[in-house]
Amino acid sequence: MKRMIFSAILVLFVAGFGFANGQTEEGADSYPSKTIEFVVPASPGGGSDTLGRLLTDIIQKNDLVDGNIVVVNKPGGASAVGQQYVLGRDGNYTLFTMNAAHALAARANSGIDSMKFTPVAAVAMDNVLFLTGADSGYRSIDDVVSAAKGKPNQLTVGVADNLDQLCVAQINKSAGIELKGVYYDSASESNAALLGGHIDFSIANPNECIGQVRSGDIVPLATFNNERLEAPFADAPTFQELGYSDVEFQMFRSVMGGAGMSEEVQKFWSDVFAQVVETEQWKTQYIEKKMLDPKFMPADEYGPYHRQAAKRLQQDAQDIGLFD
Amino acid sequence: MNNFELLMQGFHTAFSLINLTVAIGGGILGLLVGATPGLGGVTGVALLLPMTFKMDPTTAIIFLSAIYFGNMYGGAYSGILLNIPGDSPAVMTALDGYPMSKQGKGGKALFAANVSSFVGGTFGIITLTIFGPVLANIGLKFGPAEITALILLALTSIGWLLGEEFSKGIVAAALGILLSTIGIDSMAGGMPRYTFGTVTLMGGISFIPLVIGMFGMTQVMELMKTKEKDSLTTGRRLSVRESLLDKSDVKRISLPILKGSVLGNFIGFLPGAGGTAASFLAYVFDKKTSKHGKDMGKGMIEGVAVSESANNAAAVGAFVPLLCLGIPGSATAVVLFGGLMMWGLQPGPLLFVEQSEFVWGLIGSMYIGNVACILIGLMIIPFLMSILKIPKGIIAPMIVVICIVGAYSINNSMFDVWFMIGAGVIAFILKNNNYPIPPILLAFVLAPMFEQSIRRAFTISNGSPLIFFQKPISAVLLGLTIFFLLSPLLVSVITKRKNRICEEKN
Amino acid sequence: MELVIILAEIVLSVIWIVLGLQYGFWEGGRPESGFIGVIFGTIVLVIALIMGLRLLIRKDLKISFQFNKSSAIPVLAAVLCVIFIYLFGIVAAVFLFIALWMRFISKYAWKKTIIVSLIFTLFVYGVFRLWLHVPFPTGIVVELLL
Repeated sequence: MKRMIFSAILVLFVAGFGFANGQTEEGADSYPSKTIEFVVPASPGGGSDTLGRLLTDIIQKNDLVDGNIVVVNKPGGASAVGQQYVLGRDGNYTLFTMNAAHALAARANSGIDSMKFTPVAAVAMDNVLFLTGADSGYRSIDDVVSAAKGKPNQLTVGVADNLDQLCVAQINKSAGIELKGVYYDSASESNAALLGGHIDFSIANPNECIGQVRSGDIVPLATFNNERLEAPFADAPTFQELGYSDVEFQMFRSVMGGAGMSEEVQKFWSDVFAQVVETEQWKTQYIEKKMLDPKFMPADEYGPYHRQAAKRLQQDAQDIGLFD
Repeated sequence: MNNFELLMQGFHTAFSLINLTVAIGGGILGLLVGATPGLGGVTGVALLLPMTFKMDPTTAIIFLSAIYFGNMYGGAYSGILLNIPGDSPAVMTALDGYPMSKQGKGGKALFAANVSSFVGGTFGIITLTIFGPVLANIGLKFGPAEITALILLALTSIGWLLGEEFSKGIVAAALGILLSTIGIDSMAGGMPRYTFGTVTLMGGISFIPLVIGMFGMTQVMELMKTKEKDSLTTGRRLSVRESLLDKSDVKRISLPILKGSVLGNFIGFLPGAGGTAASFLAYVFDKKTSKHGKDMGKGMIEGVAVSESANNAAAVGAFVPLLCLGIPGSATAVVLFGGLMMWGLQPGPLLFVEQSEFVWGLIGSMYIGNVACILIGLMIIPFLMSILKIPKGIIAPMIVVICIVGAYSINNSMFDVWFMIGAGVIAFILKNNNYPIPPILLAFVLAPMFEQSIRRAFTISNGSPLIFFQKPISAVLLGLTIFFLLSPLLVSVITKRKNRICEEKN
Repeated sequence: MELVIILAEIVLSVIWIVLGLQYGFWEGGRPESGFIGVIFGTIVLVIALIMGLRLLIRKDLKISFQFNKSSAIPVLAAVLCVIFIYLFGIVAAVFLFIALWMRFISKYAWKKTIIVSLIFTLFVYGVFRLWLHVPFPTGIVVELLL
């Protein structure tokens, strides 16, 4: 008798919590018929996490998708751990965040065939600035180049990842100088080192340095974008204006689908994100707050773009010997 | 208007029924999250952040700072009660806190932890109120060379901390450093190191499964070794009255709290340092400079006091570079600030000038959050103590479950669960062969910072070690390191000579 | 046992040194990826060798480590619990695990066992799943059932 009660409780339990975990009945024709996993291949609190959670929040608040979405953090290995995880999930029910830095993590991701993933949409573009400290004595890129000409490998640039290192390499190649990249964990750490006078220059996105730029403690010397940015960065010329025509870079932020996502589902999500980027919440809480370029690319445009961008990044990285 | 008036205005903004309610609610949530192994600190705040989206700015800041403080307090609880530190600074608290629980003085340990957290936190807030901007600029002087020297000082002191055998302590620390090198090297184009070809290891080893395994699992294994069927405290009756600190306790902990607050607060200002380095260095400092030093690690109330006050002072210290310069000093501060930025706030040196009402509101709410937390912390001591009364036969499987679920939740990964179990077994074997376990964990936490700064320093100097000696701060720190390394030798030489002189006299 | 640990330390440190040298120790005037691994690997190796030699010379190979069977219970139980998770998902596994342990290891009565396990399971579910939104895996069996 006791055993029977026990098994009865057990069955109830298994069934009850299985249901509570968000599994709905199969058989309905409409997509989605089960919980969608939005994988963030980074830890809570970072840029990818903010993006993943904001997108999910907007979708749910505006009822853009008739189903449940959960955000799953899978940090580690410059997105390799998360991507590996996505490969093992149902492609039609898995989305994840992607950006140029993750696309470049080629060496880490060498075991993963990233072409298996399905490009869904690019949601924004981020700009990159070349900065110096207010009392460093450098007032323009010309100052930097003439100072660096005399002493190769002396002047230091704080970089937070390989993308920043690529940006430094572009300047070096174009101007015929040798600036030296010093790796930091984040742009805010390299900005701290800049303020403390431990390094000469730093590379950061606008939202990572706007406070210090407005107060005048950090001075933007140039932008990698091909148009000038808004205030307080408006005084910083583009590298192209200065005559370094091959120094140009913008970082994309996008959403990818799992391996083997069907074309209908890909289209479905591309349309969903097209609606997301039109919402007020997206514009104020993401684009404006982070000073991004509000450039949206649907699946058919982003697919080819992603392949080309990823290839170019890898090539550039190989050219400067980043992976030696 | 001077700082004081601005602060008063900040209080004025903060005081209202809803805000006080929220402060208490946030404190409770923060305490719970902080005390849950696997969810402390960053993850906890990140997960609770969405709850503030619907509040008005001032209320939300108060809520968040109460959560932040609650986290700092809570990390110590599970360390003291179950020997499973809720976050990494609590490793130091557990060193003395858990032995105290076993001796039936768990309530005292909790009380001391609360009081020290409160004093440390308050000290931090007061320095922030008065000297904020000045201190932030001193923190900036710590570049790669200085940080390297500071961590080196900390690492060499791990050796003397704990363990009867010096060489085993060193091996334990070195093993922790080796473990920390697993994963992608972010400083060299993303080269995977010591991953043995697996993708899972590319992300490196997470601290939480490691600490849960090495403390929590071994804890249950030790527990099963003993025959008695009693609770964790081997049956001693616990009463709330016993947990109150008497005059002599207060006397014992006041100096350690002062040391912890000052040192911890200072380390909090340094970019990239943090609570673990703070509580660790303060603990070692107290051990080296006080009479009770040799007994620390065996259940001394001073150990709990110094590490908790340092940890909380550092947590507030991390706000100094954040508010004055826009540079976050700790991961939790980053997440918290992410939440504050929801209201169009821009971190940076102009914050104090342009958004002074907000900043002083925040500082005001820190005082409120801190007071709310100590009140809650003291009130829940009886409930926490009842955990100690649960019989072994029930608490043991529960600890195992918390270990498993906690290890799983940090990355939602079953690999971490397996890793946690493995780490527990290895730590159990090592512990039974006289290898101290805390040095492994501390070295593991400090090593990445050490590696990054030493490599940065050499990159800047083009390989010349002179960089460490030309800068005054790092030169002094290195001098101290060498002095401490050689001091056991010197002491033994001097005592030998003394003995010889005595013998000659005889 | 002491000797086994020392041998393990030697193997580990040699792996770290060899791989570290492959990753690069010092190149172009700066430390490379293997820098820390090689230095601390060497420290472990040297100390382990000295400790090993001392042990062999003294011949005090006394087995200080007494393996206590009941210490293995939590480990085996944890492994069992993980297998349960794969099969039934975390929630059911937690319930089963606590119940089995209380009944068969601690020998409590069924009634108390089930009440305590149920309360604790609900607590875990409430804190981790409902409140903190940790995505709990559902087990193979549950997925088959649904």
